[in-house]
Amino acid sequence: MLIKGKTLKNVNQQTVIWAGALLMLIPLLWMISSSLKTPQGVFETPIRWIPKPVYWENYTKAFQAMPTLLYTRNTIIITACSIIGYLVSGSLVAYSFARLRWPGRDSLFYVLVGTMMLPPQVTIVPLFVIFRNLHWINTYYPLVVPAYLTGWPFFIFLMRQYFLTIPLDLTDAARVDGAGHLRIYWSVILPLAQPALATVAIFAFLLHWNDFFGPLIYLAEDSKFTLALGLMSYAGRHQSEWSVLMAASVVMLLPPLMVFFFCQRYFVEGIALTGTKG
Amino acid sequence: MTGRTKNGLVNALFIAPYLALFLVWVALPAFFGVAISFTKWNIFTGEIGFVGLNNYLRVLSDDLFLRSLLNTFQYAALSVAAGNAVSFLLACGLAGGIAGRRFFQTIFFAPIILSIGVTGVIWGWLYNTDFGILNYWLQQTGLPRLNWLTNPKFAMISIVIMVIWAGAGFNMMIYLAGLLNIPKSYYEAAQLDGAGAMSRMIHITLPLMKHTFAFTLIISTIGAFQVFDQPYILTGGGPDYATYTYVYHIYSNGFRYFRMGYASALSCLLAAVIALFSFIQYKMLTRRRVDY
Repeated sequence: MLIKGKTLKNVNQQTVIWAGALLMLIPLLWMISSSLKTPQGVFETPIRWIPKPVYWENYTKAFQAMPTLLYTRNTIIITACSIIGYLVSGSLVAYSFARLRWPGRDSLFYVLVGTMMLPPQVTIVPLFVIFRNLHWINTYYPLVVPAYLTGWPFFIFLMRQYFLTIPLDLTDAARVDGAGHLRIYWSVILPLAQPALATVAIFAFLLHWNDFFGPLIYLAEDSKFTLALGLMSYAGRHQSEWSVLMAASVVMLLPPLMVFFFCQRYFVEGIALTGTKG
Repeated sequence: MTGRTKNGLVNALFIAPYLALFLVWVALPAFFGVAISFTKWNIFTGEIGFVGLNNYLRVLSDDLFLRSLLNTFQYAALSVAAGNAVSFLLACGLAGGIAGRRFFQTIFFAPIILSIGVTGVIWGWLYNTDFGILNYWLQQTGLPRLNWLTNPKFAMISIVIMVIWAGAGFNMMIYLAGLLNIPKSYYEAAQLDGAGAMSRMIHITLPLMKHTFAFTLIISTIGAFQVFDQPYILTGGGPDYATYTYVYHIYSNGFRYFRMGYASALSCLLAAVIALFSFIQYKMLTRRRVDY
């Protein structure tokens, strides 16, 4: 009886998982399939999953039709500068919340958690006005500078939670040996907190690589566009060139996909840290 | 004494970025935003004048305000309920010791990394009325084609389906972490007492996952109220304003018509709505205490 119930449950489970995986994969497989079809081939019925002939020219077109390399460069600049900003400023602040004692620390920490909940849309209008008065419109400053002022309180929160798990004995031992806070931060905490730093770096990478709203509001010139914005503006102008659009999409998702496959562990740990301790 | 001053300086160095953030990036814009909401201000002509509560009274006669708010509620209800149901179902499937868990976990999570630009292009093609694969399959099975994105009745649902596809993996990971934290012995004990799968779910899994649910539901609701990218890219807010969301309304007023005062007032109202909903959800989800 029990065994029968168990196999039935396993069959159900398998069905759910396989059906889910198939539904998740179909759009991606369809994208790859369409990216290898001729411009007329994408409209053909009955539908072929394996294109005949395989038309690689879409990929060269994806680079010729729009300045994909330039967009990639722009996106890399914004993303890399922001990641460095989050890591430097965020880890300093997190250290202060986790290890230093100063008046008002705990109440300020509650304020930090509160600002995590503040929807960014609430401050877009005033920030836009401020950036405009600084003559920062159509530059990368509005997209990058906030990172150096720890623009994403969630990252401080994540790093603080991790710093708290580092045993006090280690920092106390360093202090007995005469190390100051800067030294402890740099030589003890940071090396031990590498998983947390990696998680923040990956989240920051995704946040900026895929950001749409920021570039949409602040960037005006085509030559300054990011990949996400560039792809959308191209799609808006060439709506029927599906095979080229699909090839461009494949090109665009390759870098994050590689980051994801190599750093999956940090993703998973970071999200687990968020959910269970949040 | 000098040691203490030096210590104070080091402390200040550590906390300075956060204070700068808080003052420059949060407090100042928030106050500035509230201040702007009491003015009529066109940023390009430079005209500015104090109008008191007029911007807030104006929402009462703004049809698109109500429309966008209702659309956003519809989107939030659909995407939070269906999205979390899918995430939880997948997490339950993965938690029960299935072969190749890492492999499936990767597949379910992978769409998270896609840019909304890429997701929008892919789904625009899937949803294409004449040549999209979804309509092709509908026709193959003898059903009529659907105007996925051009029929006001379906457009929002189509967007929700895309959002669930792209985002279900995130909450799934949170649920999975929570499910794996429940000690196996609880289930074994319940099974010995003759509890079936359903009653184990109701009496063990759900109560123990309460805080995880509180977290994911509040976070997804906050996120849902801010939806903008997806309708902007897929439907442009149409057809006939069917997918015109609240933040879309803020965007149109602020960055298309440059009505900074009115856009700020809309933003302040959004913050109030989100705060209210988060508070209600938090109270409801953590109302009854369960101790184990």
